[in-house]
Amino acid sequence: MTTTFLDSLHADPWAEQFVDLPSLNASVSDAIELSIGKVRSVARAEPQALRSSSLVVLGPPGAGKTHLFSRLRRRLGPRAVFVHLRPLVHTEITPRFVLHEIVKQLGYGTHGASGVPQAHTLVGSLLAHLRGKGAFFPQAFLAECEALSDAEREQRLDAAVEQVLGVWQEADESYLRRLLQVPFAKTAAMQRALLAWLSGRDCDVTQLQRIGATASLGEDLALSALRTLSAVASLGAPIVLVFDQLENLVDAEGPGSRLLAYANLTAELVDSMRGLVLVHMALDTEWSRGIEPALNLSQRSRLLMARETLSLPSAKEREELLRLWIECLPERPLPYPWPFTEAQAIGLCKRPGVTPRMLLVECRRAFQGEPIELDDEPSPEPAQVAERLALDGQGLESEWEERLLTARALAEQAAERREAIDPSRLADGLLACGQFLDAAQLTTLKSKDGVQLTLTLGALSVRLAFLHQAHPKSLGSAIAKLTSVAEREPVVVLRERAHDLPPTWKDTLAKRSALLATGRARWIWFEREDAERLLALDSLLQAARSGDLTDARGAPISAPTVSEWVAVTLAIPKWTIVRDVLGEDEGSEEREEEVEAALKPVPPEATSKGALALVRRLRIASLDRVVREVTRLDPLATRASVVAELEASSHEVRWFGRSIVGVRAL
Amino acid sequence: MGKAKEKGAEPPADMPARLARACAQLEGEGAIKLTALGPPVVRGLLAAELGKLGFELTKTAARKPIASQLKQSLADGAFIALKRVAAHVAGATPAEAKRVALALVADGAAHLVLRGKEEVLVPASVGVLSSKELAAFEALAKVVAKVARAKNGLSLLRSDLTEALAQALPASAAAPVSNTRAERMPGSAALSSVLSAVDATRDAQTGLSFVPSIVARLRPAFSSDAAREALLIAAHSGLLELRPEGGINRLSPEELSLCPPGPQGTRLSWARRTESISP
Repeated sequence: MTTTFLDSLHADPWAEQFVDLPSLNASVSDAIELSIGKVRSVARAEPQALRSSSLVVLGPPGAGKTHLFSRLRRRLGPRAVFVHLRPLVHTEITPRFVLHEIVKQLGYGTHGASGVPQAHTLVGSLLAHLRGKGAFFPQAFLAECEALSDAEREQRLDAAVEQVLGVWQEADESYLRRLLQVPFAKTAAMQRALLAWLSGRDCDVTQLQRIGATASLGEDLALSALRTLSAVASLGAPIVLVFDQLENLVDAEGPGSRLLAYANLTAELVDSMRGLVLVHMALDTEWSRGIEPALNLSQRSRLLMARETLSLPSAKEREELLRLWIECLPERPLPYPWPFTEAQAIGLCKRPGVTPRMLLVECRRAFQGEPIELDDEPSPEPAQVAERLALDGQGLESEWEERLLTARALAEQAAERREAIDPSRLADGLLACGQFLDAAQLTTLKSKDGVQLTLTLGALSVRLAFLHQAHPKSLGSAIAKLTSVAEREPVVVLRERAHDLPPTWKDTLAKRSALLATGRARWIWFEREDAERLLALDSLLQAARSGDLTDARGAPISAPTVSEWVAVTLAIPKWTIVRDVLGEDEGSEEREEEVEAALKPVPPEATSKGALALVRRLRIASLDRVVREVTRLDPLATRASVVAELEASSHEVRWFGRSIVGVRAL
Repeated sequence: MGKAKEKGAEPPADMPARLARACAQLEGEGAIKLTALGPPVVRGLLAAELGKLGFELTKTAARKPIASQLKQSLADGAFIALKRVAAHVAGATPAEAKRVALALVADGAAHLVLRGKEEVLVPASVGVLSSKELAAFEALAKVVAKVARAKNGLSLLRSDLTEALAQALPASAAAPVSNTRAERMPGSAALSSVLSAVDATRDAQTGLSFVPSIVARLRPAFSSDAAREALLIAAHSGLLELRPEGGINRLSPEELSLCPPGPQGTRLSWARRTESISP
């Protein structure tokens, strides 16, 4: 065990390193475990009587709500599938978004099963149960199935589909068949294609060919897919869908449409899904004052089947926690209470209002030799305000960097899977930017023509849409819908530059030209870095509302302080994507790149040599591939810097149009 | 026999251990009978050693000095009725104990105050009226007594009396000093009131009570400060769980001022009876 757990002040639901005191809030863990067990037994004994369950878990910041998720994941292992979902902060949550998150997390590892994806656990448990075997060793059963010949395995999967349909006729057969194929996919690419289709993403042509589908899963089928998924999982490893940080649904002005949409969606999940275990986690104050009063009786009766309030650790539990953490520290010179003095340890254990996170903060301080904070701070003295602001600033800088890194990792994962970044999260991030713009206002919009947001600039109203589609037909269809919108009002279309339209997509390119020909449409290619910033901003503001941000000493930072820091430090109106959306950099692509080059740090020398060296090695390659490989090696590199470098080496590099580059000798 | 007597005249080998045991017992219990020090042959020697170490010796016992014992009790926050002062010390007669207590008062190491009909010894750190303040009150009391005796319906203006009280007892002197255990620990009646207020304001759904509501319910018997202090003491005693505010700017400045400060700059805005004593 290393000391990294001391830095994990905010629980990571998927963290590998985990220190737990099982007796703390054991009743809450037990209540959720009981619900899971009940769902499984009803699914097996009386499948037609199977319903979903819903439970609310409340607590102050740092009381251990997210930690509870990690604990259950570890405790139950392959006996349940865990999905952790933070709601969208600015846009409404939809069944498709939920389906996408569930299937995405089916790809995450099952605890205690050597990183086996949860999708395998789900299918393995189901198949084992249907064959009358124990459902808690799914991997062993899958290995047995893998040993069968293709024909025998197909036969077995067909039988399983028939058995499930015999129990629940409403299950979607094609969805179920593809779900069962996931663990037996011949290649990783095929497995990715299957999961992409199951998640309701727009699959590209190759992915559809791989899995033998003619089209992606339509949005109208999202509920049916969820229904199938939850029901079949309940026989072996029920799906536990945890909605965390629900306080983000509450607007400062009161309950808004997002809260209503959430309540409606979850009520529908309870009503129409079988075997789903819903857990709603929120700050106790926000739930009782902001969320619950906004729910109508019908919604309350569905969401609030049970309620659990997390306790703060008692004096004895605090001591146990301190002992547990201290035992994890390497090279302890003295026994407990080192690194505390006896008086400090007793003070910490007895002081009212201490949450586990606060205790961890004090433990970290003591370990690092900093003075621990035993005295109350009712209000900072004027002399301390400057110090406090400096600490807040340091804390926020590191929080921002951390969130950027997480967003970068997410974007890289999506790039490796050749998927677009989730448009809902991007729209959410852009709406978050809207808070920091003076002249412009961004609002969410419900429409069937693909428009997600409305931008209001004085009297001018502009529709915004993120286009994420990977298939030329679905992209063409989305563009066609936007073209009809553009005939009435201005439209701004945003698409990640990594998902450029290849020249072979002639029909789609023609539709794009038709859209731009309306004269009321602008097409913005945004870089991956732009997307990463949007995701990071969204995550930062969400954490601020949940009281999950801490300064350099570990003390919580208030949401207004965070907003102020963002406004002053991040200079959002200067972000390229924001300027592009506002139309402040209208002009040619060259000019756009000039602006980007001016705003971004100059890439290091090593990067500028990377693109040329790669082209020399490959002899000929698409610009996309060169950009992808260079940026993977050097996160500071951008498409603009790669293009600039290749253009500067014109004596050695030859361009074939604007998409292919090769060495001159060719 | 003679041989045995010769042997007994020599100090036994375990004298240091006996002395250490006796010291420990004296520190813990305040006094020890001489007969409990050991066999007769060692008593004299041990008693002499204890005397050298500063313990007092009587005909029958060794004891910690009575003044030290009393000072220790007072330092722990005890309020001691003068009549029963002997019960708070070990190895002293009532007369001795009273004499030492009065000597402490004379030295300024303690105060003697009248509470009801009883004279009570209290720690020197407790706020008491000075002789000047007492004189001011005496003058005021004379006026009040005169008015009260009058048969012609004579009275006093409330505002005048308030002003006179304020003059007699300035604000700094009026503020209670709460740095001793006795003052910090509310009586069982006060604690019971606090817990009743917590129960009365409890949200049936969450099991939590909003601290500003508790404070409001405890008025006027408790001032805001006293209510907050009582809540903290109840939490320290393990009777209550005080929880930090997690809401986003949901508390008004007034509500915030009613919540006790918590760790890391938080405010403790919710209370919950701990399970062990919940009904």
